[in-house]
Amino acid sequence: MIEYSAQVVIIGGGATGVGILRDLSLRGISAILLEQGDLAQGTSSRFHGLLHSGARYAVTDPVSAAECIAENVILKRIVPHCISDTGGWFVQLEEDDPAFLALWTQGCAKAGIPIREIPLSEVQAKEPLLAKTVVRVFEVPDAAVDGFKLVWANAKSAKRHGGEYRTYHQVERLLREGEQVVGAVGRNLLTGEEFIVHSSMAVNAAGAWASQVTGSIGVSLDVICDKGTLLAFNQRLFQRVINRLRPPGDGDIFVPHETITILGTTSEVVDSPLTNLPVEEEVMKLLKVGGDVLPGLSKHRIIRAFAGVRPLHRDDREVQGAEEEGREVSRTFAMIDHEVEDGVQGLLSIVGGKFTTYRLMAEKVSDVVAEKLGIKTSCQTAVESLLPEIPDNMRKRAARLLPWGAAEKMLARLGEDIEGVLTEIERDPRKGQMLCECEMVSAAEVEWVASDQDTHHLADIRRKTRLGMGTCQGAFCTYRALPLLLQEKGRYDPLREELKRFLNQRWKGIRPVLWGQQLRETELTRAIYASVLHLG
Amino acid sequence: MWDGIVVGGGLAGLTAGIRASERGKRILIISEGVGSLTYSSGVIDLGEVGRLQGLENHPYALLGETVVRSGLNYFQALFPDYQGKWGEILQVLTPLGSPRRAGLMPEGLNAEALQDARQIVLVAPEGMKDFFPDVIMANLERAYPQSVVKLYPIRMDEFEAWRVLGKSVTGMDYAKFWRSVAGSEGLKRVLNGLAQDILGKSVTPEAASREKLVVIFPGLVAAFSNTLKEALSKAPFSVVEMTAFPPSACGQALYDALKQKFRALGGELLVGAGVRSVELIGKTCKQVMVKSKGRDTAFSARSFVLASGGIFGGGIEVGPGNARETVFGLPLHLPATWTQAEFLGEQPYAQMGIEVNRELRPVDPRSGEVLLENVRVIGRTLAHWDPWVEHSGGGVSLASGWFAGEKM
Amino acid sequence: MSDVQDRVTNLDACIKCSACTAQCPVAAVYPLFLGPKSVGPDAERFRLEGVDMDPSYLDYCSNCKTCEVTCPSGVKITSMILNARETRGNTTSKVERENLEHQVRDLVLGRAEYLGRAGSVWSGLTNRVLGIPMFRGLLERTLGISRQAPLPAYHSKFKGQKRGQTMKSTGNSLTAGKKVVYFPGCFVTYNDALTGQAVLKVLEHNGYEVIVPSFHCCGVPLQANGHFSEARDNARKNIALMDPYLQAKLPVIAGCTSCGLVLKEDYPSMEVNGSERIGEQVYDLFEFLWELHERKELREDFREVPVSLGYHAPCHLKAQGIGTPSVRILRLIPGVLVQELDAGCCGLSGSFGFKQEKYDLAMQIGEPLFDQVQHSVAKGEFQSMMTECGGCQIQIQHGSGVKTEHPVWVLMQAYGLEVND
Repeated sequence: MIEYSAQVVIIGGGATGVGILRDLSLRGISAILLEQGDLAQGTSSRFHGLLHSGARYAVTDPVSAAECIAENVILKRIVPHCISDTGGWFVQLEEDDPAFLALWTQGCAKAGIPIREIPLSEVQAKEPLLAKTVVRVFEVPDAAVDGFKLVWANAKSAKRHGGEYRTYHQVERLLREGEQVVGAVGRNLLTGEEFIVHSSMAVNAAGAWASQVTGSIGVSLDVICDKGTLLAFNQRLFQRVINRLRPPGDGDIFVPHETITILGTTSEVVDSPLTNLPVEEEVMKLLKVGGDVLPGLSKHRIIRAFAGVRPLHRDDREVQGAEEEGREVSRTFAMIDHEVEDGVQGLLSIVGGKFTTYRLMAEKVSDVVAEKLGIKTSCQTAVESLLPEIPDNMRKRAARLLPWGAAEKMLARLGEDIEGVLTEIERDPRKGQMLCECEMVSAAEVEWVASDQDTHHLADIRRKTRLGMGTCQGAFCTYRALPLLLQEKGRYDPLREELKRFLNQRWKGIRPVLWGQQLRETELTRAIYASVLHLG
Repeated sequence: MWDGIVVGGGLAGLTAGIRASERGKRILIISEGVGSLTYSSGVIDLGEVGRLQGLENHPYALLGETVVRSGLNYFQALFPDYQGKWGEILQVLTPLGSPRRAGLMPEGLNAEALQDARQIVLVAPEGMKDFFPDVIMANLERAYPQSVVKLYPIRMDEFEAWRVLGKSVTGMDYAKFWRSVAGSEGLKRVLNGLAQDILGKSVTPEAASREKLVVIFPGLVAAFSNTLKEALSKAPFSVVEMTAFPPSACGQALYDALKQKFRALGGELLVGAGVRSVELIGKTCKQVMVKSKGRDTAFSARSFVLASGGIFGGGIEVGPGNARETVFGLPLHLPATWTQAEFLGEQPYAQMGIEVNRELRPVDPRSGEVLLENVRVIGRTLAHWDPWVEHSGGGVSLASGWFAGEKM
Repeated sequence: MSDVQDRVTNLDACIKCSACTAQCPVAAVYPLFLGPKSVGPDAERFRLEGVDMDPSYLDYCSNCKTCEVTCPSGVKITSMILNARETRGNTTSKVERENLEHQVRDLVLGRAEYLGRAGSVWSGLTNRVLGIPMFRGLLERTLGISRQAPLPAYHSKFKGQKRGQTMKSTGNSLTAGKKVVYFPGCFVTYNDALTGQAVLKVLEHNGYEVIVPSFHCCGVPLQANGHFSEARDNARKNIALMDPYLQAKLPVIAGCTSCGLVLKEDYPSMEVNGSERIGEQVYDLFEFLWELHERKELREDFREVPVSLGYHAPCHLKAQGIGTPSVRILRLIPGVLVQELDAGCCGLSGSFGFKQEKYDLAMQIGEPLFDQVQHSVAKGEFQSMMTECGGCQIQIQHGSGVKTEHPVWVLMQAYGLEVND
């Protein structure tokens, strides 16, 4: 049994959890974060990657809208390297109700979201694939945000300030002494070892799993699991975020993300956070709705479908400033102090909210934690930048060693860690070659990440590097990653199992979109692994 | 007017074209790009022919054992470099260094010698792409526990520029190099050096046999090259080649050999343009329209062979909720279930394809009626088989290709 | 719109199989060239993202289109690379890259086997380039050699019989009788007038009146050297010259396979009068003759020509997707034996091999072909070589020392025709 102790234990390694870890660490409060999988493995990476301007909620959810625009401005300042500031358009098509426009512009004005109309004459040149039926276009400060990068940036920053995190550490139950939560116990899923954490407070940031956490000490928490399916297209179809100018619905947001485009999102209440497989009906629905904005959409190559489970909170008593309208559940967040609710001390749950407001959520939680611990330091996260400082000569060195834009891409992913990778390429220039050719990830970078103590599976490498996330979906790079896993023998499962696991994970996302060129790609992949490598 | 037009220039199409040309027919092969052979290992996998013949509708069942055997015999007569006998199971090394079973293959790939080797030396050409000596060594040690496995790195001056730049040399480029004049000389030097380094002063076949030394040489394809075969035969030890990660030099060598054979027999091979449409009169195809630059070109023939491949080769196109055969628009056999969760297991969709009668004429999957009377369907375009899990790709392609060539 | 859609579809079709790079003649000999997959479809996804990429990586594509012919998915890889070159402008290489290039060039040049064949690289280059006036304009831009410099022209300039006066003499009766338009191309015009005369003779022998307007360079060398707008200007001028004949449904016959390819592939997208017809009416010379044969209109009163020939299919003929009609035609002639070689690009690829820094690469690229030619001649398999493209002819002859000619000369012999020099 491994023992840890900290003032605060945080359960859940999504954006909110790591945001809290960083916030507390900056305040000088010792904290340890436990995540049952890899950081950002859940909902924080299974969304459209839209950094909201708030315009989407301008009419239906003004509280969210105001929170979003405020956070949008802050995040563009503190994590610019995780954000691609593409801007966004709201497009009104011929079939959209023109009456919505007035409500929307009022809502944006009220929330303080700047909008600007784009003359139709400029629209075609800027977005040639956009439907010809577009009648009005407005620009808003939407952007694309990388969930993996942002979560890791927070975790690493927290670590520098004394925060700790453990991945593949599953909390089995909270520790309760009388009416006081005093820590948690669980298991390291990689080694099977048990652990115990002693803490003065626990923060439940387990997202869709939050009710399981409180349930372990008999405290109920009403979390709705809302499954959202998304599609990843093979290339950048739009240069900016495209929204429909109408009440928010399924499948009407396109977000350009590095080399790909993500279309989302469906919404369906499911009974478990584990129900996160995309299905073909959802794919068809997305294609139909998205096809209004991008005609002929179903002819474009989809490299995979994926789904996340959003934790929505229904109990409006605790929703801060909730202004629920009709049947809509507010997309703003809820912090539950279980001392007030259930008479259990030292436990806070945070549910709901959006990726865009992760920092604000962390701030609110950390304020309460600090107050309860009697600590006076204030929140620094709105001002303290997460941008790594890369000296100019290091940039130049990277550009010399890696061709094309590969250097910039790696800098954005690894930050200061790039130093180690560059040194390795200088030692062995062949490691500067692309291991993942689709997403331009060098062998040295993959090797660096593979040797990181937080990396345990090929999928962990994928989340940190984009390995296997491009066109071939692992057809070539899975094989090429094998020698690196062998080097780190002991930390990985036998090669054959690791390889099959990775291919099966990729397959999950390909199955519901198995046609066209991606089906051809799949046949090539099967030919390689089942026939040439004989791994069937 | 051609005697026969084959749509598709992979293993099946080229085999059909060669056989028909040999029979004095004027044959045109039309191929959208290079066939799938360059992704294959160059090994002719047959699968468990007996078991597969028992499966209803499997191409092996339709063709029957006599045809399958004739196809294989024909191929081996064309390319005596290919070893293997009916019913015999040979072994080759995968690119990961694990032995696996194989049907026919170039002599150099036969891994039999490793069975009782006491010393295995893995030659590691400097900077070869997609070649992982550590993984291979680990697998060899597991597969041949009786043997000591050593690594023998080699560096060729000709690839110095690649080394300086930190660029890999592909296995294809290495294989091409060994085939050049400078390369075959280089190979002799490497083999001599290796013999001296490993065997010391007593560089004799007897010494090597005493040591039970076997050398594994990746990135080398001796098949179809007398110079290389001779160089290897002079080495005092057995040399075993390896299959490669695609695109593979051995697959390419087979592709080149097939093309050369076909052209030498007077056949014309048009690579780089697919068929856009066909002209049918009743149940007879008159001509195909090829997507040439500028305008389509019409090629007419008495009979046609559809060897355009399956999903991968482009013979079958699948959209959301639909699938079509791309040349003639023939109806497809579509399995009821599409996929299953274990990626490398059997995938039902792979059974998709054209149903044919015993003459390989396309038939309506429901009525069994022959749809085109001067067209035969061969290779991956056929329904009811899956080359990847059955490991039967080479066998079905050769047998159906030979049959079509014989009948054209 | 359709253009954008085409580009999207084209990029989606790539399944990353690497067949193109495996077959690329340049990537095989030049490590600094990342290969067609890498600079084509792989990079295209990043270009769409707006990632800043050094365009000098595109320079070593020789525009031979082997990748496009190879691609099993029909991806227009070369076009993708040319488009990227055009959009990014003709930026000069970055300093560090230049250093690398020199380093590599030195290494490559250090390989005596390639140099031996050429005698001396630089003198070999100079002799060849100076001997070929079609490259004068090119030299002016690439090497700074003036177009006006007194370079020796080996042949008098080609003039078709009807050249310059066709509009007047035949303008009223374009539809009467059998007429064709001949697009001779710069090589025939400036270097090989005799082959031009031979083409005219063969067509006339088959009853055709041949019209030869004063065409400009087709644009291929301009395009390959980054002068995209000039290439388009030339295209427009040439289409304007052809337009009356196109309207009269006359076939346009290209003797050079590169000219033929660009006329068929790129001219139709020029959106000027005539461009909509051009794809339909342009023929490769032997494609045209084969069509006559199929219609039983070709004169086949051939004399026996006892000759065995090796045939090299030019890359830009392969890219046209019409097969090898010259081989079909020559096999109709009694006595002619043709062996088709399959040893890849000759290396010259239009003007690629004439560039100072690319000469040695071009020789390396062509090496397997030269080897095969020499080997086959030594074994007595054939006596001389034959190929339609003028560039290939020079390069093969230069690299192998074996006489290499346009196949029309075999036809001349079979018809018993001669030209007066």
